[in-house]
Amino acid sequence: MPRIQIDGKPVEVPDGLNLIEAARLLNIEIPHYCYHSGLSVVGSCRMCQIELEFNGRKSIALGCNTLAADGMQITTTSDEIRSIRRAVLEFYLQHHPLDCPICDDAGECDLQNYYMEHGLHDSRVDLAEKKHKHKVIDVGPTVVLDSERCILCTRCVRFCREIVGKDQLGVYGHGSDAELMNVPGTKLDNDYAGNVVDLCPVGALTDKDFRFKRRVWYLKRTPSVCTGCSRGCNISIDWETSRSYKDSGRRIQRLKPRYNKMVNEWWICDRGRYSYHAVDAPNRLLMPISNAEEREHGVSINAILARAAAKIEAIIDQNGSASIAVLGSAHSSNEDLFMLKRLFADHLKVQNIDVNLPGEANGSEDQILMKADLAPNRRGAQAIGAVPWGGEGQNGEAILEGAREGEFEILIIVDHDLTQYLGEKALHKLRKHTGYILYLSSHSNGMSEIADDVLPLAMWAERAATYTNFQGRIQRTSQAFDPLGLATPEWKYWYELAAMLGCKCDYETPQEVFNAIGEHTESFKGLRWDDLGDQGLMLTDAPEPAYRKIQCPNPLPAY
Amino acid sequence: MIDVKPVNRSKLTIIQNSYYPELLKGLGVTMRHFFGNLARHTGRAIGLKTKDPMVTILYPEKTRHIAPRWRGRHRLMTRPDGSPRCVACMMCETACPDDCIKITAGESPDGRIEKYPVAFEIDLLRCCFCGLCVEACPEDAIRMDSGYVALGGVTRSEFYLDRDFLLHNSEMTTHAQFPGELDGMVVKRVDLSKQSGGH
Repeated sequence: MPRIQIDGKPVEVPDGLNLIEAARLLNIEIPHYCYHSGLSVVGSCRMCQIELEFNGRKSIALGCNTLAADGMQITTTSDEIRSIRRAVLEFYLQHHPLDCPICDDAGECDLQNYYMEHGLHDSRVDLAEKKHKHKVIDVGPTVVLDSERCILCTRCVRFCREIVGKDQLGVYGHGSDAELMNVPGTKLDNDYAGNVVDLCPVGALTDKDFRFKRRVWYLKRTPSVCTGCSRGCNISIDWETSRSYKDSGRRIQRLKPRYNKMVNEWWICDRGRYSYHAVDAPNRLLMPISNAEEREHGVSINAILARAAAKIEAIIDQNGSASIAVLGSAHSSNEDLFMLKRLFADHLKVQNIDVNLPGEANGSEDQILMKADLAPNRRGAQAIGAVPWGGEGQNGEAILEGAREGEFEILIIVDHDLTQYLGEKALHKLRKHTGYILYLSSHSNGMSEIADDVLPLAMWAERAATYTNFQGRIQRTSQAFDPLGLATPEWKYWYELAAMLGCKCDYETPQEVFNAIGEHTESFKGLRWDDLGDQGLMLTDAPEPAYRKIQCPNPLPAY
Repeated sequence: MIDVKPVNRSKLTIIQNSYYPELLKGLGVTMRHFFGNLARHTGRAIGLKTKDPMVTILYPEKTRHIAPRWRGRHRLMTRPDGSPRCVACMMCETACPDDCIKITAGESPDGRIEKYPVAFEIDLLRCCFCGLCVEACPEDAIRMDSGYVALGGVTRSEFYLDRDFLLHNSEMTTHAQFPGELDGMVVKRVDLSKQSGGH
């Protein structure tokens, strides 16, 4: 543990830490372009130079390429360092185009920020003499390159080689002719291509999905968790609602990865990055629908819940709880599943509860981030116990089979679109034999057409919730904006239904529900909402996984 | 501490109550200007060097002189080929204190321009004519020197100006940067509802 001094402040840093990271421990920012904590060090941008006093000798050193050693004294803001930074910036800006007004990165550009902080020089290059390179180059299906803006930090090149393991970007040419390009014969088409846009310190690489949509200073940022697969990558939702009438009602403008050492480090996959389109999709359910009655008259949520409660009570009195089946969803949050279990399993003694269906949509899986299981909370459903119980309960497959044969009087389904699993004949039979189908979903689909009553669900960006990823890490999301229409979080429906059916659950907020999970569920014992923090906590019976650097199994070496 | 403060209001006298003195005073002002003006005009007519008489401006065929920096209805400038000079950087939208500018940016067919406004809408009813959008523009693409000051209409949609209207709503093609350039300019009455401004 070397002890060093940064700007006169002593600090003890772990072994093998470079000076940029060491300064970060003291909240001192050493400006840099090419260095990134997740990538190898190249030391090419020369921006992180600092004054180093070591063994009685003074020198100028690179912050990124110098490991902290015992007794180092570092100055980050002397006059000499300032003049060095100004000189380096002047080189970068010598031929940099003056298109900040149309550059998507303006507002979050390191070149802009450092110029305002350290540069502030007048250009010595006449506008007409500026060197021009290629603009608007289509480097891949999701990314556009402007090589005139590029400062050749090679972060994107190293990312593709070291994290994804594919050689798709490279710097070609020498001196002032050097240019970032696709490696000949390739396109930037890997599953993590969107990350190069986050990595780019300037506006050279821009995202086609976000390009020209919104200036960054309008965006508000809410920390959240990606619900695209069971990994649960930490993300930030960048959203804006003041102009949602434009752009087909798009409220979320983009998703950005958020650092979590044990889950996703600095990256997210493109599948998750562009998954937000579902939130503002035109087929979102905004109102409750009752197919049983006149459709056009409309129906209130309370009326549907009251009808459902009356039917459930009647059926239980008549046939017992065996003729009720509840098909929850692994896309629901811990709170939803807990309330579902509380109401149906604990209170109504319904045994046919499950969240798993055979042949649920599976995605591709790789060894970097993506998981095949597209449901974000299957582990949480197991831990909470939203599973068949009592020895006679039927699992998802059996419920599906039973529904086909018309075994159940009441079928309560969350999110699962049974029309994907059953043929037309089976659906017809199901519809004929089942007395009452209550369907909860965020989007309209085949199932919402045939169910008796449909309730609209709020989606992940519209609610605060917790999800348990495949490792058993419980992570919480925050509400970015209000749900569309009358959409409501799932647990609220169960809460209302519980009140109608005489089940005592007094929880007003998701926080209270989660704290109740901590009291009543073994795997969540003692966990509280406030303790989850930014990075989440492990289930009490899940072992803390060992740290694994997020990268492909066979990375290509840095240049 | 709340206290009652009595205010002495003197009662009107009978003469004041009759209003006649004030009425005559007011009429006197009118008459003074009328006869004064008549005398000056007559004096001018017969060649005397009288003071400048008052002139009635035949509005709306004519307007008063407009100062060069007068802020009237907006217009968008064009490039020589007629395409909008605006690059949809949204600086004006950001600077606008009334939130009356709405720009939707798009990929320009011209690769050198890269970004251009697919839609550029100004809600004149919200506009306070402060001119901050003009100051913020890095491309000199938006100006308020269209010369149109007669902003009237009977529906809200007439005040909702879209991109094509803003590009073509002015007869001015030159810079209005020289003092007096707009002086005495004939202002045309434009029926906004018949142009592309409405939605």
